Amino acid sequence: MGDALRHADDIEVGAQERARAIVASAEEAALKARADAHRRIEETGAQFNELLRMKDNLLETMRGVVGDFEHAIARVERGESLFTPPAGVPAAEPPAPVVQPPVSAPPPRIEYQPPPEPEPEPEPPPAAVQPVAAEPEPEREPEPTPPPLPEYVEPVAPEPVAAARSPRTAGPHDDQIFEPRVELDAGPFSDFASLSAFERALAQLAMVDDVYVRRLAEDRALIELTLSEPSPLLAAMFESLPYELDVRSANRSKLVLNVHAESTAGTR
Amino acid sequence: MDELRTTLQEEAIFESLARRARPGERKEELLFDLGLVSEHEFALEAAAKAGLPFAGLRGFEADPRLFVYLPLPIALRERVCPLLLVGDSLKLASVYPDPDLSYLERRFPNLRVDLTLAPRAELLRALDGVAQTL
Repeated sequence: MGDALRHADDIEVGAQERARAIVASAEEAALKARADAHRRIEETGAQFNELLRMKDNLLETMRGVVGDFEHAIARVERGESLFTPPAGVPAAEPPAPVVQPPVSAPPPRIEYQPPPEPEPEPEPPPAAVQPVAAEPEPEREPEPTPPPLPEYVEPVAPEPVAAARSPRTAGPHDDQIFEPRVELDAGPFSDFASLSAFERALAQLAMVDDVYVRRLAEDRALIELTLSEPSPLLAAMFESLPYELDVRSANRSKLVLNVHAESTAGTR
Repeated sequence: MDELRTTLQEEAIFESLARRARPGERKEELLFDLGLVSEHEFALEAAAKAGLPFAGLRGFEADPRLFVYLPLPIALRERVCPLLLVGDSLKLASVYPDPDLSYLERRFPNLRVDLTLAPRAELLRALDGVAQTL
């Protein structure tokens, strides 16, 4: 009986030792797992911070882009040129067209495979729905010279428009009433900034609902204007726009103008 | 070290942007999508700088027959749309001044391509119209 009790005690002691060993090993494993989890949390936190930094970086870049645009728009609205080449500095070489090889004469227009609906010649349809493909190509002058890419310089502050504007006598087209859809052929625009400034000036006319540049080739733009109602567009342009306007032709739906900014910056 | 870090961050950003889903999409199109850059003004300015003409494509419907020359998937990928064929000259609208036109050069070596720049959304709308007719 005594032997049996001793044997039972031995078994109990052995079992307790094994249990302690198991608990110790489990505690060690838990410790390791906890350390591992901490390490992973730290790594994840670092990655998260990295992502936040990347986001800040992207936001900063985008704010920079927005700031540049605002700055450029503000300059344009003040009538300053963004791309005027500095005096005495030759303008940069104009880049060659990407695909089109330089030619000395316009390519022969051998045949025209028209799109489904050819455009009637004398009176163009409303411009907003006029497909580009349906327009016959205007005859171009030989050797188109793309405008040079001048460098940016601080422009001279422009003269006040009112001071620069000289009184003009009424022209034969001033009282012309234009239809709500008007195709305006205007130029010359030496760069994007001058075209953009003209576009904005047009958009500020009270009667103008929409301004859409349909085409820009060389230095002339075809602009589609949508008026709120039939209006004396030309008279309003003469009255409000800070440009010298030279009317080449005008009818109820089409106007051809040469425009020159009245301030020092502009389209010349 | 900071510069390297910044460069790596920017590369990571652009790499993630490069994985955007639409075919042919360029990284800078994010600026269009966010409305930070006007597509119309971008095309006008790019045209003025590259000495290329510009064409607005609002209301324009592309002629599906012209996609015999340039398959629609390539047109979508390269962001180009054929406008008209005059003799042996194909007039192409493009969002960017440097599309990869090697397919045309291989298949039609005698075809002359005239590029004109156009706003992205209007060009994609024209291509979408063609996709629905094909």
